Amino acid sequence: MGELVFEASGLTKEFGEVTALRDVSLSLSGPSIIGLIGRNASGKTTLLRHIVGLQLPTRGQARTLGVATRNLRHEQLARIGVVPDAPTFIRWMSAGEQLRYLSTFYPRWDLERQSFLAGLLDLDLQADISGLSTGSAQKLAIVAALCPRPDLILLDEPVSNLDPIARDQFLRLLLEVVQEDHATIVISSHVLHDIESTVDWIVCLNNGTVAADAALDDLKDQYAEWRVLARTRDLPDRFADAFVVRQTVMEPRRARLVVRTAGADVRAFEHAHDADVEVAPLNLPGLFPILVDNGRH
Amino acid sequence: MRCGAFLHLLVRPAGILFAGLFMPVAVIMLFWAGARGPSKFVEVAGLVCFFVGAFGGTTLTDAARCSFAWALPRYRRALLLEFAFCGAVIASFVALVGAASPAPSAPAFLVAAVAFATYSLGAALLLTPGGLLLLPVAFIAFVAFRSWIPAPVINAPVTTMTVSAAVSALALWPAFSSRTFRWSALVGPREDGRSMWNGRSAIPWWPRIRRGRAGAGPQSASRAPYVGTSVLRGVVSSYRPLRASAWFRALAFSVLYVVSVGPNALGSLPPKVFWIAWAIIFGFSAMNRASYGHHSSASRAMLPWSRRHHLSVAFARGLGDPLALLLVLSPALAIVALENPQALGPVGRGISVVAIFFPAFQWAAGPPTGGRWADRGVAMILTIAVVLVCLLALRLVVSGLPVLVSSGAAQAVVLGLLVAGSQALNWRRLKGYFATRDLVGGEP
Repeated sequence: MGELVFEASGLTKEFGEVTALRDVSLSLSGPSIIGLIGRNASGKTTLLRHIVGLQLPTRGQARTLGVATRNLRHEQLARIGVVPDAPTFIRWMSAGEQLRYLSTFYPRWDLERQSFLAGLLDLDLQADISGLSTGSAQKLAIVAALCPRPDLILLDEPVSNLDPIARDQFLRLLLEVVQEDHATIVISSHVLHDIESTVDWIVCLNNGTVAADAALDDLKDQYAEWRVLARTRDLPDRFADAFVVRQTVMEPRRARLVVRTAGADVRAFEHAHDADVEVAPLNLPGLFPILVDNGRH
Repeated sequence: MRCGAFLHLLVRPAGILFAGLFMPVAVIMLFWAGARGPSKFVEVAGLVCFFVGAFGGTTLTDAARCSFAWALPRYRRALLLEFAFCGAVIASFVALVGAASPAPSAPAFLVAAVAFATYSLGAALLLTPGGLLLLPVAFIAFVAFRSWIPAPVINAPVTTMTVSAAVSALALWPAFSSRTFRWSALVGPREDGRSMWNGRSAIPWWPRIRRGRAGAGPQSASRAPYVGTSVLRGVVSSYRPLRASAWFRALAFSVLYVVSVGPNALGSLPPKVFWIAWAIIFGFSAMNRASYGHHSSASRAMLPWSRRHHLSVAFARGLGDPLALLLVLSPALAIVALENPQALGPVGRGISVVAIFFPAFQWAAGPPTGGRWADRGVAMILTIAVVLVCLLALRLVVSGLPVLVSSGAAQAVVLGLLVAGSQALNWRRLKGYFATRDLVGGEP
């Protein structure tokens, strides 16, 4: 059992009439890489901002590194690295000046790592902030977040503006950071294919509530994809089996089903529908709609 | 879109509030000025129309930043025509007020021409990229205008009309040029660095002054001077994002101001101190907000500061700014002191009043934390309202305090109590913000 880095209990956040988080209860432990997924406006950014104390709960409790987020002090904040969704910097500085400025606030700023990351991500430290592209600004934010060697790293859509090469390097880098620093990383992203190979725990938000909070492998074990091929007669328009979560009848004799593995019997299904079934594991993009639906129900 | 392009932008909460708060005050000021003669009326009419134009300029700047504005067909022309139409209506209204005043007034067409020129100038300074950099020059021009120009304005109508028309054209031409709208579309709200002290980083010709070696490599060891919870170090770090050029401009402005006012006008020093203090308050409240603002929003997430530390730094920064302000103004103060040592009393009172009202100006600029309350239009209107109150209080304290309290020691005690009271209120206000508010904006 790792260190408990964040704990929320009945966390609710309201912005006027909009409820961004609704009675969220959650515990995040590390070291691990946690994928925070959800549809647009599901509350991912709001949750990340609560973890670092930038926003305060309307109701409920939130504790980060053992301290109520309202009372996070320098000691805890210096252990947290953040890559915001839209990083902003002091525009008149160069990228190198900005990093040097930020480094003066951290006791554990790693200049070797700064140099290494800048080279790895192909970030020009001489470039003016005002002239940086969106992707380069994101790279700068990543460097700024990782150089203090934080124990908790919050990444809000960090790969959305990275090119495929930089994205691949960055995701491999995360694994190294976890191994080297024993850090806990919370990564929010819509690029599910990319983070699937990196994360080991999934938190899925839907309409401000927690739709899933489980290990990725456990979630994958819970569901499977069945590719059904009828032997002699057409398949029904709709399968009434209780374990079928999602179904697509592609042709009269072919269908693709997503099933809950608990209670699903392949042999019995084949016999009942006079069909052959090929079982395949479900990947994260395939799981996502189901997790969101669970939250909706 | 062609009809009502500008008017549609004005009809919003900030516009309605501006009309509701500022316009009645403006009318009262105009009647007051009208009773004091044609020169005063022209001066106040120009000032009022400048503010109205500046509000229009702010509104248009917001509109121009919309990504779609650049591509809208005939949008600029529609805005220009309606903006000019509004200006003509306001200038005519001001001229009518002048004609209705009991004292002899300047010719209505002259008042209207000057009013339209200052209205155009106000909009141009806000709307044209980099225009705010010229605000100090405009301010000095206004001071010079009120000191020297009014009589010739009235006595030389042909020249006045010609100059006003030229100023209007020269102001409106760059303000509504395609370049303005193109730049505005490129500089989005997130990159907004508008402030007369910080300048517009998008201006290509503005010289860049680098501090230290660019692109620090791994060789330069991190000394991390701001690590820890020292408030003093936090305040020092908060000044760091200010460009060196901002300090030079502030220094140049203060010296230029004293030179333009003229050290020979020391016989009526209190009013001069009054205007100097006005400039100080206006300039430094903007500077403080802009520099502390670099630590707000998403940037705030990158500083490992607790809420209490943010509070302490923000408060200490408010206390430190009058000292920084003294530093910047020291050459100007030295000029005044050398010319007239007796002027140091009013100068001291003026600076005390700045310290008293500085928190109020920051309050008007919106909360230092996140939240939707800090709508810029509302903050601007509040600033105008607070400016008017502070100007009155400033005048009362600088000129009226010696009448109420004769001894210097008693004056110092009164001013000290006022400073302490205002700072206590400021501390309470900031504490409330940093204890209960989100540090960044309120969007989900």
